[in-house]
Amino acid sequence: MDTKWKKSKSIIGFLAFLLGVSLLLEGALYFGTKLTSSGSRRWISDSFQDDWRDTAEFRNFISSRLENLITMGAGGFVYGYEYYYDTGRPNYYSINSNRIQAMHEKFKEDKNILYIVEKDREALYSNTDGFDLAQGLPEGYNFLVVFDGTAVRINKDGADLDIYGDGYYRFNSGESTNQWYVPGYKNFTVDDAGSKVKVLMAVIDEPQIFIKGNYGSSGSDQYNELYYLNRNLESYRESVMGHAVRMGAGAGLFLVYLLLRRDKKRADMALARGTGKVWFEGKVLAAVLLVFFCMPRMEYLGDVWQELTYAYAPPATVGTASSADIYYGDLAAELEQQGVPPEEIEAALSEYGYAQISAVEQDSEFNTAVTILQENGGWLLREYLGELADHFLNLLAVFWGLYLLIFNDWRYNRKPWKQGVFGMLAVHELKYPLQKRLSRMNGFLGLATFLLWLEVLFFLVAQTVELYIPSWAIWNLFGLPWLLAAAVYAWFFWRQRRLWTDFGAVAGQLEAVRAGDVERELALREDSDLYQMADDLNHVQQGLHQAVEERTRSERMKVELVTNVSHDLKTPLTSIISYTELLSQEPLEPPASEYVQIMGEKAQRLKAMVQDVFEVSKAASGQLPVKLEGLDYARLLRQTLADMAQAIEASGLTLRPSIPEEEVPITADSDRLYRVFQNLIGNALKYSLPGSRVYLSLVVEGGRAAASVRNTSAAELKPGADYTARFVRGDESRTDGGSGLGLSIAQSFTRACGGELTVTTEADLFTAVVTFPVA
Amino acid sequence: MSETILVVDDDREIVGAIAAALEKEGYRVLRAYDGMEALDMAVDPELRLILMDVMMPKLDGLSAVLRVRERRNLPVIVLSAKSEESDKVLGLSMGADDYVTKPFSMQELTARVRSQLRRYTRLGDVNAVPDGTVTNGRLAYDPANRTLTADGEPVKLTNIETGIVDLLMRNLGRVFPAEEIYRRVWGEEAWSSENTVMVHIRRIREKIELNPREPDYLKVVWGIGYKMEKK
Repeated sequence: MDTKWKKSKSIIGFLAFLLGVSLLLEGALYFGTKLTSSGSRRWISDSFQDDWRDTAEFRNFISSRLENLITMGAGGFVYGYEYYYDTGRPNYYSINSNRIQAMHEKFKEDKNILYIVEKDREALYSNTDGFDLAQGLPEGYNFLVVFDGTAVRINKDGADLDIYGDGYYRFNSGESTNQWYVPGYKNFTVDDAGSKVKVLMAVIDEPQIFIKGNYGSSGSDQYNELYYLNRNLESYRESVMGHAVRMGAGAGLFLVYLLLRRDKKRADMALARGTGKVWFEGKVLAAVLLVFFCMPRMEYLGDVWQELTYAYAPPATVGTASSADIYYGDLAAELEQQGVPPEEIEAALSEYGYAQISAVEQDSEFNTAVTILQENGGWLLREYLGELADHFLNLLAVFWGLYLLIFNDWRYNRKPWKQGVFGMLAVHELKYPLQKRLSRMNGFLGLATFLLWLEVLFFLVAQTVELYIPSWAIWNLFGLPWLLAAAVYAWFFWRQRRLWTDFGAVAGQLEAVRAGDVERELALREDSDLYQMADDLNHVQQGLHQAVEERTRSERMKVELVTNVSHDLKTPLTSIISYTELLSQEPLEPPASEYVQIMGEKAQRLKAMVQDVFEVSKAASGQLPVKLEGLDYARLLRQTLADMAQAIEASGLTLRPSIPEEEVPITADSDRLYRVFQNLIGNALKYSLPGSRVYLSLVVEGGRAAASVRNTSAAELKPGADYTARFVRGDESRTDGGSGLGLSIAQSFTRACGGELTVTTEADLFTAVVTFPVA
Repeated sequence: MSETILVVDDDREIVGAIAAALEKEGYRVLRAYDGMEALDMAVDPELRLILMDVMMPKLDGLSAVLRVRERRNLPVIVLSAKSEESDKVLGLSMGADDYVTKPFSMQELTARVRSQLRRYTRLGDVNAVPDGTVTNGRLAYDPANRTLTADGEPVKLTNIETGIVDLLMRNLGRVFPAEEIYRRVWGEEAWSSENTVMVHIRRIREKIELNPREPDYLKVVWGIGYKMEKK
C-alpha cells in the first residue's frame, strides 16, 4: 500500500512536472511574442474593450469606409474590391464611374452600415431604402457618422464624440491610435469636390451577416467586414484568455510538482535507469535527429534573411542587375583608364566582372550580418519565437526528448558515454597486456596520420589532374576522414595525458614506498592503462607492509624476551655473586678457597655476558638510545688507551699507537664509542700472539677518519668468517675470554653512532677499522 | 655501629646474602619479602635505612618507597635488575637516594650503605658545612685548607691529586681536557699527558668512589676530557 502510494506519488509528480512545464512554456512563448510586438499589444487591448465600437480596429474601419464614401460622392478614384466584380468586360473598370458604382453595389448589401451620400444636396448613393438618417436612427443602430463637407460629427448612443481634440492630426505608430483619420482637423482639410459632398453613416450595434445572392452574375456574396471584425476581436480575446488559463493551470501543476519534487526525482531516476541502458551513441544520434527533424524550420526566416541581406548590402553588391551594372561600369572605367582596348575590356568583364561582385559580397557579408542583427535582432527573434509558438508540439517533442535523452540521463547516470561503443572498446582494449595496448595506441595514431597523408596526396592529385569531384562527395572524401583523424588524435592525446598522469602517480608511489610509506595505497581509475600495475604495486606494498609489521613485532618480542631473560638471569646471578663473595670472606682451606675464587671469576664473566647479550640484542633491533655529540676522535683514543693502560701492561703485548696530535672532530655517542674501542683493544689483548705488537692508528683521509686496530692472532684465523656476527670467535676451542659478542656489540654501537666498522683478516693479521665522517 | 637496616626483596636468597654481609659489618637487619611487608616493618623506630627491590609481588618497590617516604625521612637504596638509564632516572625521581643494579658486588653495596648512613645519621643536615666549602653529593671540599671529605670522613690525597681535585671541585660539571689539567696542576706544557693524568684520576677514584670501576663523581667524557659530576 505504502509503496504503491509512493509509486503513484512519483508518477503524479512527474506528470505534473511534464504538463506544468509544457503549459508554462507554451504560455511564455505565446505571451512573449504577443507582448513584445506593439501590434499584438494593440490587438490585445482592443479585444478587451467593453464596447467594440471603442476599439482602434473599429475606428480605422469606419474612417476608411467614410473616406471611401466621400471619395465616391466627390467622384474620386476608389481602390479595392474590384476583383469581386470581374464581369469579363475588360474595359469596364477603366471608367471610374463604373468603379464607384461597383463599390456602391458591394457596400449597399452590407446593412451593418447604412449610408447616404449626397452631392450638392442631391442623394447619390444610399442603402437605407429611403430611411432618412438625418431625421433619426433606425432600431438597432446607435452610431451615427455625419460628414457635412468640412468636418465630421459622430454620435454614439445619443452623445457626440470628441473627434478632433486640440484640432491637429498626429501620426502615431504605437498602439495608442486614438485619433480618427477623418477630415476636419486644422491640418486635414477637404478639397472643393469633397466639400460638396455630405455623407451620413449609421453603424449597427450588433453586427450581423447579410448575404446577397447575385446569381445573375457570380453567385452569393457577402461583405460583412464589421461582423468579422467584431468576431475576430472576440476570438482574439478568447485565445488570450485561453492561453492565460492554460498558463495558470501550468503554474498550478508546477506547484504540485514542487510539492512532490522528491517523488518526481524518483521517477527521473527510474527514467535514467532506463535510458542508461541505451547506448550513448544511440541517444546522441536520437537527440540530433530529433532536433534536426522536429525543431521548427527556419526556412521562412532564411528567406527573410536573404531579403535583409539585399536590403543592407553595400550598393555595389546588391544582387540585382542594375546594381551589378554600376559596378560593371566602374570596372570598365578603370580598365579604360589603363588603356585597355574596349573589346578586351568587354571580354574581361564578361569573365571577371561578376566574380568580383560576388567576392565583394562575401567580404562584406559579416559586416552586413552584424548590421542586420543590430537593427533587426529583436524582430527576428520575435519572428522565430512566433514560429516556435506556431509549431509548439514540435518544440515540446524536442524539449522533452532532450530532457530525457541528455539532461536527465547525464544528471543521474555517471559517465553515460561508458555505455556504448566507446565503453565496449575500452573494455576490449583492457584485455590486452599493457605493452600491447600502448603499441596499439600508437598504431591508431599512425593509421590516422597515414589517412591524413593519403588525403593530402589525393587532394594534390585531384588538383593536378583537375579531377571532377561532385560537391556531395567532397564532404565524404575530405571532411569525414579529417574529422575521424582529428577524433583519433584527440583520443590519443587524451589517453596519453592520462597515461602520463598515472605514470607520475605510480612513480610517486614507488618513491613513497621506497621512503618507507607502505600504508597509503595507490588508487587509479579502473579503466586506467596502469590499473593492473598499480594493483600489483599495491599488493607488493601490502606484502611489504605485512613483512615490516611482522618484523617490527618479532623484534619487539625479541627485545622483550631478552629483557625478561636477562632480568631473570640477573636475579639468580645476584645470589651467586653475593654468596660467592660471602664465601670468599670465610676462612677456607687451600683447595676450597681456590674453588671459590674460580666461582667468583666465572660469575663475573656470566654477569658481563648477560649485560652484553642484552645490549647487543637491543642494538640489533635498533632500540639503542644514542646521544650524539661533537667529540675529538684522537682524544677519545688516547683516553681509551690511558684507561686501559694497566690491562695493556698486564697483557705483555706492546701497543703501538699512531694518533695525530691535532683534533679530529667527529659526531658520535662518546660512551658507546668508548665501548667500541674498549672491546676492540680488549679483543686484541686477549687473542694476540703473546709478545707480538698491536697497532692502533688513526688516519684522516678524504673527509673520513679511520681508526684501525691491527694485531696478529694467536690462533689461526679462518678465512671468510664473519667476526662481527654474534657468538663467532677466532678460536672455537677457547672457553675462557669473551662472550663472542664483543665485535658484534662494537659493530652495533658504531652503526648506531653513524659510523662503519669493517673487519678484515689476512693470514693471521686481524684488522678492525672504525670509520666516521669528519664533522 | 648497630643501625637497623630493612632489606626487601622477593628473592629470599638475595635477602639472606645481603643480610649476612651487612650483619658481618655489624648492622641489625630486618627482612621483608614484598612491598606490603616492607610497609609493616618500616614502622620500626630504630630503622635507619631501607634496601628495596623494585619488582616485587603485592606492592612494587617504588610504590612502597613513596608510601614510606610519606611517613618517615629514611635513606632508601633501590636494587633492581633493570639497568636502563630511564629505569634509574625513574627510581631516583620517585624518592630513592641511590640505585644499585643487579647483579652487584657485596663490597659496593655495603660501601653505599655506609655512605648513605653517614650522610643521614652523622652529618645530619647536609647543608651545614662551613662557608666556602664546595659540597657535591657525598663529597665536600674546603678550598681554604685544600681538604676533601667523603661522607664526612677526610680523604688522604697527594699534592698532585689535591691539585686535580681542587681544579675539578671548583668547576663542578665542567669538562677539562687532559692537557689543560696537566698545564694547570703540573704548571708546565703538556706532553703525552693523557696517561699521566689518567693514572692520577684512577687513584683519586679509588679514594673517593664507592665503585671505582663505575665512578659516580670523577667521570671521563670520552673524546673530550674529565669532569667532576655535579650531584
